[in-house]
Amino acid sequence: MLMKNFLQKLVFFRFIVLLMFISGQISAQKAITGRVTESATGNPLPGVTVVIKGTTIGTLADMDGKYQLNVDADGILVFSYVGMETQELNVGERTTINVVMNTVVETLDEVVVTGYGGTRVRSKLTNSISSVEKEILKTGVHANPAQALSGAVSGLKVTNFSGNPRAEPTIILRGGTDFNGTGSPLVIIDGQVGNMDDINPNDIKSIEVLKDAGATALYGARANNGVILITTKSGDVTEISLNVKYGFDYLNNQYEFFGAEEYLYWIRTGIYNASRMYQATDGNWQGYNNATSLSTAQPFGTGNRYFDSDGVTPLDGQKNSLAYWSPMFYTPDLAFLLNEGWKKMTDPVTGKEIIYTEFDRKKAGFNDPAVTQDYNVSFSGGNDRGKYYAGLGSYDAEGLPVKTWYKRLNFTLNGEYMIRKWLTSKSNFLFTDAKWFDSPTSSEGNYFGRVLSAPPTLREFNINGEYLPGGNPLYDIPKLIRESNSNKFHLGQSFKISFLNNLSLELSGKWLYDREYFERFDKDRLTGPGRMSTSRYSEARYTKTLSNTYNAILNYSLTKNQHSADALLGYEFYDSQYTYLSASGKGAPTDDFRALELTTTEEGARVINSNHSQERIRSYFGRINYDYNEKYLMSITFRRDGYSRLLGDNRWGFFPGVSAGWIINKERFMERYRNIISFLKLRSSYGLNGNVSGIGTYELQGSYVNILYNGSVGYQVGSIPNPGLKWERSKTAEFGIDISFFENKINSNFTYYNRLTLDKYANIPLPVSSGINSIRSNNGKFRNKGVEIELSFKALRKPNLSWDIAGNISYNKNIVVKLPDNGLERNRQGAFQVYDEKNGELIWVDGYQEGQTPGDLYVYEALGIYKDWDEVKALANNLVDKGIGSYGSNNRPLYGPQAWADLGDNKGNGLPIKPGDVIWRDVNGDGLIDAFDKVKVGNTQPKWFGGLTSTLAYKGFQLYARMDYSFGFKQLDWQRPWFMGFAQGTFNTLVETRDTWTADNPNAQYPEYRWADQLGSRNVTRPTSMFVYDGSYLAFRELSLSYSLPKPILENMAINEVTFSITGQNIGYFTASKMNRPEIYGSDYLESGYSMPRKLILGLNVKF
Amino acid sequence: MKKYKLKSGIIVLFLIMLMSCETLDLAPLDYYGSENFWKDQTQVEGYILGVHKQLRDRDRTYWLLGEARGGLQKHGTSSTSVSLDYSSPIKDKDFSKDKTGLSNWGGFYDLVLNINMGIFQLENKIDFLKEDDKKFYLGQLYGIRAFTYFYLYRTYGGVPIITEPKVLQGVNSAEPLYTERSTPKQVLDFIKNELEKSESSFGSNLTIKNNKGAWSKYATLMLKAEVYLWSAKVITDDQSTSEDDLSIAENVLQQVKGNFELLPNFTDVFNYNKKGNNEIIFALRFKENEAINWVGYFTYQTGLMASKYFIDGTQNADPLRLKGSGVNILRNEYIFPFFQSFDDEDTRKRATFLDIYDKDAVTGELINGGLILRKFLGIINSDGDRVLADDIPVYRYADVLLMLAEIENKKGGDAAQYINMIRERAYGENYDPSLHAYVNADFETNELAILAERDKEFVWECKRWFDVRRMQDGAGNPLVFSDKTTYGHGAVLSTGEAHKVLWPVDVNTLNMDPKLKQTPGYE
Repeated sequence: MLMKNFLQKLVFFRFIVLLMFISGQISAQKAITGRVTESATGNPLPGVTVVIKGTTIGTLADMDGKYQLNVDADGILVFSYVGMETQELNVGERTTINVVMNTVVETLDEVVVTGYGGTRVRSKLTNSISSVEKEILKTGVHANPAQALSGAVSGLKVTNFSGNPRAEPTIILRGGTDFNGTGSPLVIIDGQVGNMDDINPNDIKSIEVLKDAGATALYGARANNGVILITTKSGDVTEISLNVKYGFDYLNNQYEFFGAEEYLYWIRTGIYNASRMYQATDGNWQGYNNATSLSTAQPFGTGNRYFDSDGVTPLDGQKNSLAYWSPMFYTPDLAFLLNEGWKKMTDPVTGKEIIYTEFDRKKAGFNDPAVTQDYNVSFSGGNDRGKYYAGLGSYDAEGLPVKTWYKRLNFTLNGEYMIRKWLTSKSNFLFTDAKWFDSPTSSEGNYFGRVLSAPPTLREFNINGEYLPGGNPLYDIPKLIRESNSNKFHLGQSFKISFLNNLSLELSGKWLYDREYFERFDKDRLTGPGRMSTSRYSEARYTKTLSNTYNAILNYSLTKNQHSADALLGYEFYDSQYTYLSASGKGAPTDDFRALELTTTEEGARVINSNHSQERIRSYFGRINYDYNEKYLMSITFRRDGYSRLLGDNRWGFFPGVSAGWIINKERFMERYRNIISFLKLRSSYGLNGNVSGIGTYELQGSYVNILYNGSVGYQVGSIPNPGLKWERSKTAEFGIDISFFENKINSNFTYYNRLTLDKYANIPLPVSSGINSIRSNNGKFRNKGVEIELSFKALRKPNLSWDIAGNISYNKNIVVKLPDNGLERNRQGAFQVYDEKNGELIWVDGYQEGQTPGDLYVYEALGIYKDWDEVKALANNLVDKGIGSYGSNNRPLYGPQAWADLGDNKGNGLPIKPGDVIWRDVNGDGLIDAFDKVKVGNTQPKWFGGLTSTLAYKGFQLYARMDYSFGFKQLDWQRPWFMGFAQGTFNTLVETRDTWTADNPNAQYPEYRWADQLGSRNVTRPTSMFVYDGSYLAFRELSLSYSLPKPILENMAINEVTFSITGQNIGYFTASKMNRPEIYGSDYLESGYSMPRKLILGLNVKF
Repeated sequence: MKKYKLKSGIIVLFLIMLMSCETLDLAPLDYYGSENFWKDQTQVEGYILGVHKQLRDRDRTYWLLGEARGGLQKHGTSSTSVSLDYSSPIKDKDFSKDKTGLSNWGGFYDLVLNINMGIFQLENKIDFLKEDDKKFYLGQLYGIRAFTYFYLYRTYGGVPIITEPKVLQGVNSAEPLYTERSTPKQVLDFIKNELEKSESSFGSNLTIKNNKGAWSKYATLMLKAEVYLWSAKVITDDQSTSEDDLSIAENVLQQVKGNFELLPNFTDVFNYNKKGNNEIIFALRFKENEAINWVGYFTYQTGLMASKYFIDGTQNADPLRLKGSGVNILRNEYIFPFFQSFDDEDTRKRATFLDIYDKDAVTGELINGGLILRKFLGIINSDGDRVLADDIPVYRYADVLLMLAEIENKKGGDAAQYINMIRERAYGENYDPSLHAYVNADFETNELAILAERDKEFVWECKRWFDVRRMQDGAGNPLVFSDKTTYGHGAVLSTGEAHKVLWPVDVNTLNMDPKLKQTPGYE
């Protein structure tokens, strides 16, 4: 199907190209011949592309470097070759044109977008502005461009928290300005505040990241976490491009669970173990559960039944809980089941035979592989007066959870035209339609942990071959309708009026219309055996945001002698209106329709709601760039913002920025080093930014919220008024060196930054008796400082062969400088006490404390497992363990043998410490393990992070590799102990459980497996070093091999380029962490989450 | 020339744009900001409703404070093999400064903030209300504030007394808000004073709004009776009892008596369709599609019920037709011997509980008795789903009678008359005075009989812990230390851990306010 479409299009495009040829042949032409040689060797250079400028007509130099071409006298020939400088030559009267090609001396003429229509060549840049390498967006498949940015730019930490196709990664610049290390950059798409998920990566021309305040001050109020500027394609090249990618996603799951047999073996053993913790004086075994559950109708119990009490009629698992799970003691009348795939095993507890069947949760729960299809076609072109770009993209991805998907359709249209010499009109239009279906049965975070760990002893079908309910997504999904749809329209129109050559005014209006619609309908379905849910709940939700940005920008530039300057002055008005409407009902008479009108009109059964909010920002801003003799550079920016969220005098903020640079290699004294140092620039900047993120639209005004009591609307205090709150301000100072060596073959830059955020929004905790927990105030100071290094190396430049390596590395450290005075030491917030490892005194740690770096991880240190009673007596005879458990633990006290005996008959809810328990470190050696015996194992924030790329090209082949990495941080796995601690009480456990302590396996790695460990000894269900990993990783993000067909072959088909590629994406990690996404950091507790799929992508790119 | 006109026109336009000032003053569009509230009576009326809604929000807290630690709760694992909530430290009374069971003063102070704001506005700001209306609202708010502090007082003894809504009056730093704990006596005196204000504000207005879902003068009187009865019998720290306490309590109850009655049928009192009936004085209003209570945590999961047996030997995975709607799980369970203490003729026995058993594989006997609560099971709605939205009674007439019994007993009078009124209703047509009537006896026997009657009458009505704390044995010691109150399970507290009659304060609350000290005995 795909291929057929493609061929049809091919025929069509060839027809167009043919027309071009015909039109090109109308004027008089003459034949030009010539020879191309290489300057260094004087040898002929075969394969050089020779084209007539502005056309697609051209040829290639032959083996002797010779070419021949028909050209008009006023034509221009363009000679190009990889690794050589492109040359353009006027034909004029000549009939022979010989060309000597020079090896490229890399220049630093890359144009960098600086905001509000401004650009600057990189060599003159005095700020930290990084451009994202083009290759990053071209390789791999991404539903939104942000997903591709991990490791792309120094100082920018991009983390994909979820493998959901529509997931948005977290982007944090230079450590974030919030105490917890968060805070995301402002995203500007074609001059309008937007979101990365608005846009198709294929339509992006460039992404720039503004990092220092000298640059971001221009965006003033909302820019203290940096600015990402996205510019869409506008028609700079004349071509038709077709891009097809087809990918397979494979489940990359970190957890391996038992099959049914081992499940039954271990779960039953675990329950048995928990029921026999010690022998009471009467000789009876005591535990913290009752082993009678082993014979109940449970996933692991033998109380399930196949036949009704008459012994003949099979029970229906859709109706009867006794026929839902499979395990039963084997009796001869069940023998026939063995032919139907049931199996037998020996019960570890009773020694009897158990018959059971196995349900493959992975097969029922996942698409493996899931298929991703990404199709893009674009048309672009331009001339002296106008430019045009149109792009159409379709992205269709299956998610890993079964039956989930995401579909996106994009259309982008950018056009500009010079209507008069003094008036240019520019219009742009971006449209996105996204639809998706996420798992309705379980939250995304739980899906990957719970679906797989649910008991495998479920009977998949009942006697009639129907799915059993309650846990099988294949049963639930057809009955749970969830439709999500979002649309975004970016509409922009601007006029540029040139009063003089160097004075112009640009007026523009931009609208972003963002709407989302969601519908839900629950059809009648069983939620468990015999439990029919018949509410027929139906719901619809609609949200709409319309944002308007209007601005007027005056531009002026002047060059006189060695002075060169340009200036900008602007005004902007931003208005955003949010509307929400929702309605729900239930009790429709039929399962067939979800229309809300069908729901019952009974009192209170229907719920409707609507919400509105509006906000405005008014801004004035300006910028002056100046340089003298292209050596001494300076740039000044300012912005004044007024924001409706703030009140009274605090509303307006002023944010200036200044930067300067000195291009040293242009000084005379540097000339003697020219062969080594080809470029050297020192730069420095300082500026101020603001921030009000996290402040609700009307939050500072306080509120009385609506409530319902006895059927009437009432009110209660919602939030307290807080009119004194001001802008958060960030001062950023930075110093950098840009240095290039050997004719710019090696480029590098080094940047040191120090950002101090003042008047930080800090929640001052208030005494509980005040009635509120905390109040927001401008009372904190927070510092990020660090170093960023970017390096690129043109390692090889040979005809036909080139190799580029680029990398970046960033170091960041966050320090809490000041917290609101609260009378406590270091004005700590949220801290807790542990014993100092040196002197056993109690010290306050973690939380936020002045002078400290947040994010330390404290856990109980597991020193090993008690092998036998001798070891317990030797190490823990008098020990009492009151360590605090997780997952709703009841924190029973645990006693060493002597302490246990001393309790006499008054054991309370205590338990003995036994062989198979964990040996905990008693930090202060007082014979008591308690909450203070936690030790620091590291910090959860990576110290170093960055990325690496390598591009190796040989003739038409290109091998591209991209990696990113972080190191120097710890992770606490929160999900694995939940499985291994049997915390849920029936769910499956991991294969690691094989290596738990038993009398036969005293040297096991893990403690004895017992039911609901959190209710017992908390061997794994407390924060423990046993599940702390070094998170350092190197991620192999992409490895891509592509091949472009040689031009001579394509020439006959009137095609410019055909490239095939095969790409592996998210291939894997080099890490000691057991998490499937070691890149996740920052949180104390890491849960299973949606793992990133491993992708294999086949690609085809054709250009006409 | 034309071109220049056009261009200068554009410049003028640009300048106009710079000047034009769309306002940045925007007010909330869907709710009241603090500047546009307290403007009319509808808002005040709604605000009082809001206070009641917040009272309702704390339904679980009342149970935890008033009943969970009363000695009638199983801890550990329930009869359906799920772990029981609040097993420790609340149900097993294993309190310490690290195991406080509750945090943040039980969550009462944000309610106090709302009440304080209401009182502040009514007393100082509002001028648009008729005097009678204003006084009625004040009567309600003073009453509810006393009710709130009475919970705090019985739980913690001395607590910070906060009467001003400071954070709503512009205080935005911690230091001026630090408040130390008043002594228990100061708190009790404060509560008594609040009751005085409430009573006088109500004056002769006996209106009960919202079908008895709203605080009224009767609620204030009931609270007053409770407070003075407590004051007459319980000594906390620096507080002492007064001779008048008992007579004040009695006097107040006599005012209530006669205005309410016992319904003939016990289950009708809690019937969803009979909300606000003649026995109810004040109830927390729950309602389908508005708010459900948490009684689901005293029921069962059908999957776990399937293998259980009933007293008649039958099985049924869903005997109470819960259908799995809402949260249904046995996370809290009453002890079985308590159930066994009911007479079979007592209609309360199976109106309150559903008893479930395992069957002994060998003998076929029913063993391991367990209890599902069926007292507050709400209704089955038109969808066929069970909705657990019964009101939770705060004060009802049975309490008037049993408090009078207690007063009578303390005075050395005849407590049996009141006990028997309760029993007569409870046994219904089975009632046979010769078998079922209580005969007055000595103080301790009477007191234990009243307690046993209260136990049976008020299951899940958040009274048991306060009862054993308040009521006394023959020597005048609290029954909390008596081993005769828990149906064979030993004393609720041993005398060696007497400090546990009050709750410890969690470390976070202490850390937030350097003026606070830990409850005595927990330091």
